[in-house]
Amino acid sequence: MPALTRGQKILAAVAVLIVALFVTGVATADDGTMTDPTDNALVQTLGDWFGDPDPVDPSDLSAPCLTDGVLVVETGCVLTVAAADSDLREVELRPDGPLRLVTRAPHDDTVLDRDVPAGEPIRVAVDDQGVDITLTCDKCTVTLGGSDG
Amino acid sequence: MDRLRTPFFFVALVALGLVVAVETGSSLLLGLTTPALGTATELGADVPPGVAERPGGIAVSYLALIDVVLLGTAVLMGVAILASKRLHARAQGVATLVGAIILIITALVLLFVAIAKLILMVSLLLAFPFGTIVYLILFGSFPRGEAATVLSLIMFLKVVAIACLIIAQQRFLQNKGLVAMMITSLLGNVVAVFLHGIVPGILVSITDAIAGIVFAIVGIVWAIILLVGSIPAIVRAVQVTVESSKQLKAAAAT
Repeated sequence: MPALTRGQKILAAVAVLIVALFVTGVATADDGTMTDPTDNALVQTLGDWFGDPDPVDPSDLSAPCLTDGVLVVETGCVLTVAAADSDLREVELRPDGPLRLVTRAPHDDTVLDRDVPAGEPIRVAVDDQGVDITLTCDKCTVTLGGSDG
Repeated sequence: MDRLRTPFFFVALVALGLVVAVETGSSLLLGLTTPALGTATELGADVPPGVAERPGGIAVSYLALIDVVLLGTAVLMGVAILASKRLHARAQGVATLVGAIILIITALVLLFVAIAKLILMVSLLLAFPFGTIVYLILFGSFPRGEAATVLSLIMFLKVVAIACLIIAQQRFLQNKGLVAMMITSLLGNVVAVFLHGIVPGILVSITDAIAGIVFAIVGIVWAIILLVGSIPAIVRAVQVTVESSKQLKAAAAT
């Protein structure tokens, strides 16, 4: 085997460095857990680039208990969000009493439910297929779109 | 020193073929872990059985967009051994041009797929609480261990392939384009493993998509370089063909 030239020695060093970097990368993976993934700097930067999901167009919302942007719920009401082109949208609800909310997860079939305290706004993510959001409470009103009405 | 050691060359070809095969089939190996069901359940998700098995990430399979360039170059060098020099000289330019165009189109499509997936994941994650829950169910448990195993296997095969190429013919190191391809290929693995490792497990799907975007862009850049490089070869091949047909006509006339 002939002796290596200077250029070949540099290439060999580069190859060894790359392999060493690879081994370091495998060995030093971040195994930490996090309570709130949205706090991560990378996620926040990407969020700034791509922006928050669009709000649902009010004309896509319909419900038997809907009057002038307010849902008047006696015991239960189904808010229907129509299908649209947007890949991910959000509808914001603000109940004046304790509310139970059941919806389908966007881009999935998983059923999600949540108890919402009185006065606390909640954003429901909806995919392009639309969704039926079931609202249950004992005589409450729910303001749509996050306004205070 | 001038002679090509053919057995080593073919071992390198097989290793590079295996690299691309493992990369393109990696989506079948990854994604068999249970998603972050605990975290999702804490946030209020009623996760039905069956959603636990999800496909893995895209970065490892997107590495093939880079490594297929190295494989293609090695295959063309292999054709030069098996076929006549005349045939090889004429076919090389056209094969490179066609391969580069196919690679550009494929990489562009995959680039847009990766960007769309990244936007969807970030949007879901930031749409608290329901979007976040869905993100955790669908993407929250990236199989980082399996990905590292596959990447290590690919790295081993690449090192074997490159070592065999150099043993087969030391003059391959004088080919700057080939050396740049080898370094890009090895760096692809490093980028993938670092992007998989710099964030906590819940967020690895996002950095995996970023790695996929990087690899698609690098693949497009290499394809453009090959496409531009193939044009002089095609022009030369056309000139030679025209000249030889003229000579044939002249010989037939006399």
